[in-house]
Formats: sequence, C-alpha cells, structure tokens
Amino acid sequence: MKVGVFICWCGSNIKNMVDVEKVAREMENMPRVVHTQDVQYLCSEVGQQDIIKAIDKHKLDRIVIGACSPRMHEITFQRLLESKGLNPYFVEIANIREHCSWVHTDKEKATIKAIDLVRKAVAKSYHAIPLQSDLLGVTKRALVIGGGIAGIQAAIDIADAGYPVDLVEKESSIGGRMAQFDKTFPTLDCSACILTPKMVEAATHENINLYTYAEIEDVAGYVGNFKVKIRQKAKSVDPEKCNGCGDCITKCPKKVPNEFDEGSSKRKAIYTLFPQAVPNKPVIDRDSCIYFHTGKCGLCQRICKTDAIDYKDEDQIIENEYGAIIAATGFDIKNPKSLPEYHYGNHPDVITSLDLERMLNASGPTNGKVIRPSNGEAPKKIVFVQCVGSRDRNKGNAYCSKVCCLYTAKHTLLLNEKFPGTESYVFNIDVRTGGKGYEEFYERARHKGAKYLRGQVSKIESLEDNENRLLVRGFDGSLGEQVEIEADLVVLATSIEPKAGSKKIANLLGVSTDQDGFFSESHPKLKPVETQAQGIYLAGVCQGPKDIPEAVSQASGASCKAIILFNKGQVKSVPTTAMVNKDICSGCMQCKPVCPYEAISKDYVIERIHGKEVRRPVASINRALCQGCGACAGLCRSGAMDVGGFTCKQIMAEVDSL
Amino acid sequence: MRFPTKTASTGQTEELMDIVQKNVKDCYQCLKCSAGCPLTAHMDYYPHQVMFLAKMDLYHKIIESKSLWVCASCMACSSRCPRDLEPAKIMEGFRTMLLREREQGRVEVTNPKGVPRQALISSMRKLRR
Repeated sequence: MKVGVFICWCGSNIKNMVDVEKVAREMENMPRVVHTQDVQYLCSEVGQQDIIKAIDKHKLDRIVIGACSPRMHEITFQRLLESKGLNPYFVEIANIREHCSWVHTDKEKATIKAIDLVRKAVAKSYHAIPLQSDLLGVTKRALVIGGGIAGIQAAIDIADAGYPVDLVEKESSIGGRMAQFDKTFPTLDCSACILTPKMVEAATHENINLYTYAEIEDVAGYVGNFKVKIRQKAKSVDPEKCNGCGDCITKCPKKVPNEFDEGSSKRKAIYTLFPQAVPNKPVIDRDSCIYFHTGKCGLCQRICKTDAIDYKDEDQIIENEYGAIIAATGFDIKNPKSLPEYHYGNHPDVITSLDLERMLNASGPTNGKVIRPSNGEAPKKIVFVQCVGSRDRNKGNAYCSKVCCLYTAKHTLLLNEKFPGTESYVFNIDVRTGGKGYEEFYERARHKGAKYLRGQVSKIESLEDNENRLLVRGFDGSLGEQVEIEADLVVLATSIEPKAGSKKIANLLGVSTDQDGFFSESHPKLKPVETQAQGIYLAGVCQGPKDIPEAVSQASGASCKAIILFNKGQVKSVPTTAMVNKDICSGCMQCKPVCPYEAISKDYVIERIHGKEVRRPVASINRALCQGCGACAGLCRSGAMDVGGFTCKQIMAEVDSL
Repeated sequence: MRFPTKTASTGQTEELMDIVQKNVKDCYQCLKCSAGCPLTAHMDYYPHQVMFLAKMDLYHKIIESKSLWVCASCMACSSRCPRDLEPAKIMEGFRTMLLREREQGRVEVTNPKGVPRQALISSMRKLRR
C-alpha cells in the first residue's frame, strides 16, 4: 500500500492560518506514506496534474487530501481516482479549512490541529475498502404536484421532451393563483389570457394526464422508483357524460362562501371554479351539498339532461410509479386579522390586495367594478398599505414577500385607468423593483398619479361619519410629519405564506421546510430547484416568494432536472451504505426498527451446518433507500453491520491515531 | 454638513444595551412608531428620529432633546414596531441612564411601610448602577 498526502494552501484560506509545509513534512513520518506535497490550489488543473503525476511516479493507491470541506471537491478528487483506474473511495479528505483554518486565530495551535486531522485521515485510509455504486433503473414518468403556472410549465416541458407526466391538482381546475388575477405586471397582460393557452396545452397534451380534484395520499420509494398513491376525490359528476351546460349549477339551492373570491361572494354546492376552468366540468362539494347531508334535494340529478350526476361516486386510490417528482404547491396570503391596528374584519372597506384583484377581474364578485364593500359605491380615495405582515419579526413573517410593491403599483395604474378621478395613496417602507422593467413600471404608476408616501400606517379606524369612511393615521417621511387620510377604501398588501397543507406534502416527500414553511432547496445559490431528496424537485412559490417569470423559469429548471434523469435512464446509487456480513449476522433484526429510511428487511440464507442444510434469517439492506446514517451499525450486537466508507476499523483507526 | 462621528462612549452604549436589551441597529426606519405617536406635535425629534440617532450613536442629541421628556410612555409605538424594538423602552432607557448619571436616582423612602414592594423592586432595577 502506498499513500500520497497532499496539503492544499487554498490560496490564503488555509495557508495564512496553518503552516501547510509543516503539515506535509510531518506526514512523511507516517508508515506507508511515500509522497507528501503542498499545493497552492488542489482543485485547479495544476493541482490535479500534480496528484496524477505523483500517482504515476510512486504507484500510489491511497490518496489523503488536507483541504476544504469534502462538500466542495470530494467529487472532483473521486473522479480523478476513477480516471487513474483506482476505486474512488480510496481518497480521504481531512477538512483543514472549515474545521481548522477558518475557525481559529492562533496559527501555532491551528497547525497542530491540522496535523492531527491529516494524521487521522491517513490512519483511516489504511483501512479503506473499495466500494461500488449500483445502477438503479429509472421509471421514465414524472409526477407534478400542483396545477398552478409553475406546475403547468413543468408538466409541459417534460411532456414536450417526450416523457409521460401526471399533473395532480387539489382543486377542481388547474390554473392556481394566476387564474384569480386580473392583469399581470409589468406588461399588464390579462392574466387569464396568458394562462389559459398553457392550461389548454396541459389538458390536451398527449403526454400529460390531468388529475384534478385529487390529492397525494402517500409517497414511498426512492429516486427513479417512487411509488405514489393519489386519492382521486369523488367528483360526483361523470366527466365523460357531462357536457358543461351548467344547468345544475343554476338550479342548485345551496350557497356557500366562494374560496376563489376569497370569501367575498357565494358559490353553489355544485360548482366550477371559474368560467375558463380546465376541465370545465363541475364537481359537488360534498361538505356543503344538501343531498349528502340530509338525503333530500337531488335537484341537479333531476335537471341533468345527460344523466351525468352520480351520487354513488367514491374516492379512488390510484397507484403509480414515477421516476421524478416536482412539488409546485403554491401559496396562501396571511390573514391580517392578527394585526389589529389595521382594522381588518371590523370594517368592510378594509380589504386585502387579493380582494381588490378579484374585484378588478371581470368575472369576479363585482363584475370588474371596484366598489366599497360597505355601500357598493365607487371609492374616490384609496389608501394602499405595504408590508402588512411582511418584514415583521414581531407579529408577522420576517421575510419580504417580494411581489407586493409591484402589484400595488399595478393596482394604482389599473384604478387610474378604469376609474379616472380616483386618488391613490401608497404607504411604503421601501419600493422594491428588482425585475426587468419593474422600475419603469413604478415610474409609470407615479406619473399616472399614484401618491407614494414613505412611511408606515400606525392605525386605521372608522371615521363614523355619514359615509362610513375610514381614517388612516400614518407618517410621511419626506415631509417629516404625521398624516391622516380620510379613505373610502383601504387595501392591505398582506404577506405571502406557503400553502396550507404543504407541510403534509413535504413530510410525505421527505423534503425539509425552512423556518417559514417554504420547501428547502439543496443549495440556495447553486441548486435552487433540487432538494436533499434525490429525484424530488421544486418549482414556484412553494420554494419562496417570487413573481411569475421566476416561477416559470424555475419550473423549466426543475423539469430539466427530471428530463436529465430520464434521459440517463439509470441513476448511480451512493455506495457509502450499510453492509451486512451475512456470515456473522444472527438475524435478530434489532436493526430493522431503528432505520429511519425503512431500508432493512429480513432475508434468508441457506447454509450447510454439520452436514445439514439450514435456512436462517439475516438482515438485508436496500442500498437505494439506505442513506448511510449508521444507526444500524452502531446498534448491531454481533458486529455484522458496517457502513461502507466509515467502517468500524476505519473509525477505530482514527481514534487510535489521535 | 459633515456627518458627525459618534458621540456616545462605549460605556454609554453598553449601559443602554444593558437596560433595554434591544439591538437598536435593527431599526429599518419604517416610521410606524412616529405614525402612531400621539405627542409628535410637541416633540423636536420624532420617535423614529430618536431611534435613528440611537442607531448612529449620537446620544448627545437625544439627551439634549425635548422629546425625551415629552414621551408619555403610552406604548403605541412599542406595540406596532415590526422589529419588536420598543421605542418607548429605548426612551425609558435613555431617561434611566440620565437619572443614574445625575444621581437623581436616589429615592428617599419616607414611609417604608406604605410603599408597595413592587415599586421598590422596580425602581431598584431601573435606577441601580
């Protein structure tokens, strides 16, 4: 065995706090080390060439590296060894940067520690065993959870690449939040006009299966081989027979608050979500339907000319296998009732921006007219309040919701255009216009007459005058004095939050969420669409607040990752998994319950013992599910369980070397 | 006007921190505190300006201001601050610091039996050095 030790300067990152030459020199004293070297940048081509030359010259078969965290370059060095015909797991990395030079300030002591760390790695490398990856097959079918613009885009991209996609949407129609909007910034495109072509494409694409009014019930398996149970909720309407005439909706006697209008209007118990719904077939909301509560009514069934109403319809569980899953579950907005200074819920004329958006929408509760909810008259003075529940560590969410500054500018523009003569005031802390064309859009809003006041609103209260107006008490930072505005309508730009129920999806998928509930990406800068669960990708606001162009880009990015997986057709498993020595294993199966990934199962071996054939139980590892956590190995009483790359011998050697 | 360098000594900043336990540097000047303050008409520095001066370590301006003694401790600002910085507490912190400095924190208790224990403890906490 011939060990080569390479210590990296990492420019000045390591060199200025660790005496790298000394570390390399000290390693010469270790047995079986035939070559030591310190290099300025081991990850560079020059550095890589140095390692290759040393391997050739000294016939090295174990490489020990003292450098940055293996998270950075473990793959680089492993590839290098593979290219030289060595097993990639014969390289051992001692982290003398993040664990040493970056966290200490005493050069002498840091050097001693670095020497210890590298010595430990050398001792470990003596016992390195070759490890092989398995090649796992990949089911070339994708699942997209969520039928908003991000989910639709991802599904279309994967389908265009030639792979089948199942798009699962909780509501009775795809479209998501964009279907609720009137116009989108900064182009002021009609939201439904740009969304519906994509919705139709998703519905009619030969490679896309649409499951609407369906939810994810269970997810099992691993990358390339996810087994998913989808619950197709009972629609109570046979989509094959229904012709979308809408008579049932007209005749239904039961009215409930309409979630699509954020509760500001009513819908029937049998309903379609909005006029351009895809599929445009109604469903019965069994929680509200009179028939399903009392057995009476049944009007819709009697009225239906095509006999499409089916009260006997039941939830169905559909099981499918997928190679990749994309989560695109979207968002909700925070209810500002928890911020009592804004008077929301106490006066009908304090509304949220989404309420205003629904009013502006021509198929909304007011048919496109912006009115004061209290008396139905057109408002003359409208006050917009930004950052309601956002940027608020005290009673709200600490983060910025990103899109509100722009959509408020859009609202002022639309109001000035549709209802000239309205005065709009916007109380803001900052106006954030980061995207393309956004600053110009904000300028346009100001030119058209929106009055931006730099300051916040402290209290909104009823004026209690004849017209039931509101008094907004705020501060104008430019003039430097308190201002009070008598408003007809107050619009609160409330915080974006992850969709209710997304936590359940995250748990099913095994994806972690951050402290605000948004899904966690692999790396915030360089891996914004992947998660730490291989094969599961993210798209849209479920990963963090963003506007429509970003959601669409991210959806295309996520679909690209899925397509890469499918094109390859197989995925290399990570070989640092648990290994069972079946000769020693007693079959006690104490390891099975501690495995968090349910990777251990009971298997049987047949042996000849004392001339007789005996069949005895042993543990067996599913190497694809196993993540190499080592819980089983720590627990194993007979020492039969070990972890590749971190064997008991290796760990004891590390301890002994210190 | 050349922006003045800080006038607060390290001792003063540490003492303020010790009293109020809030990181004034978190204030992002949203102006919500000044928006709700009922006494801005009588102040020379508004609450958000006092927070700004505290952030910039320009304590002398606060100490010489009228605002410090006009503040009624109504806590409207504190209840609304999105960063939970409690401007009313910071004001109280400055008043406490001044009283300690001027040795006006010595309270003579003429009737020890009549004073509620709570008052003794709170004034001890506030005015001790």
